[in-house]
Amino acid sequence: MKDLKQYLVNGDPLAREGELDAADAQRIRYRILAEARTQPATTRSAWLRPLVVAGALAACLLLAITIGWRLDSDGARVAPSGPKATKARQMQFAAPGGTRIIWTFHQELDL
Amino acid sequence: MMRTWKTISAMTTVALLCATAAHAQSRYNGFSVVLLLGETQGAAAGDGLPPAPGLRKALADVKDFLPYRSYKMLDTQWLRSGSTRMKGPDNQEYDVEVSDVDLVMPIPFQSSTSMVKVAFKLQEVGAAMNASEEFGRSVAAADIEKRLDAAVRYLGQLRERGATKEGIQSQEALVNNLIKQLRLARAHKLIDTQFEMAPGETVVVGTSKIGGGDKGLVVLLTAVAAGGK
Repeated sequence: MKDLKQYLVNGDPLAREGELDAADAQRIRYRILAEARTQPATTRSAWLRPLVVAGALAACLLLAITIGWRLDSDGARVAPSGPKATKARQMQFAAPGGTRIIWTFHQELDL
Repeated sequence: MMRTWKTISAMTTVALLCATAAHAQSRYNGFSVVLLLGETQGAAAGDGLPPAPGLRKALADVKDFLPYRSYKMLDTQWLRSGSTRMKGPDNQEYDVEVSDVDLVMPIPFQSSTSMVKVAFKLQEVGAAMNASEEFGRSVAAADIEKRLDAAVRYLGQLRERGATKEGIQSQEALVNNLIKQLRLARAHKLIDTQFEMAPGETVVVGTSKIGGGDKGLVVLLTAVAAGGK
């Protein structure tokens, strides 16, 4: 009984082909070598790559800091108009006679 | 054995709490709250002020510090602890809450002092309970304000036209109702503070508009000592 592996081996067209001709093999080899020689040297990009990554990271960091700062300053601007806008200031002091005064100044007091 | 131990622990805890509360209560009988309206206008006077010498002394002490020439008594209350409603100027009412913080959160084994730690709150009736409520209320107030403007304009037109007495009265009632609603929607928390006071001591707690204003609410708060002083 043939299993799947056996079927695949039997059906492989390369198995039935003969070996590559020596002249063809040599031609292919020369072609590969020629192509390799015409390519620009990669040493330059090798040291550039970490720099690019570091630059991208720095840009992301800068962007995050800028956004954070903007959000912060927006929050500070918006806060007074929110529900806490009714500001009250309190002060405590004592009169010479010893009586203590606790006074609250209220922004929206209407008497 | 375990059950007996638990019972003893529970009883001890309850006894300690009761002792702490009883000790705290024994220092004073309650709080006297006198609400005054201070005014920069008018003759220098203190008409209708309670004759209690402690209150008179406290007011005399702070007179030079506060900008008001006259003081009018609006309401006076005596409460052991908790909240009460007091009458203010122009039919405005205020919710006043006085509580002994040590009674609310008694700390057993804490070395007792003669001082009473008081939490005092004063707010216009209907004030928002929390900050999140305030935004909705401000929106509602704006809406009521528009309706009030329209109602007042229509009332003027009715009077000009010589409308019936019933019609004018009905419109007046609507205007008054809207004024009341607006007052509730705009109600504010005015004072929310905590301080220590000795039994028998009078502390002056007050509020006024930022920048002064010509009027201020002044509260003379006295922790009435156990002896009745």
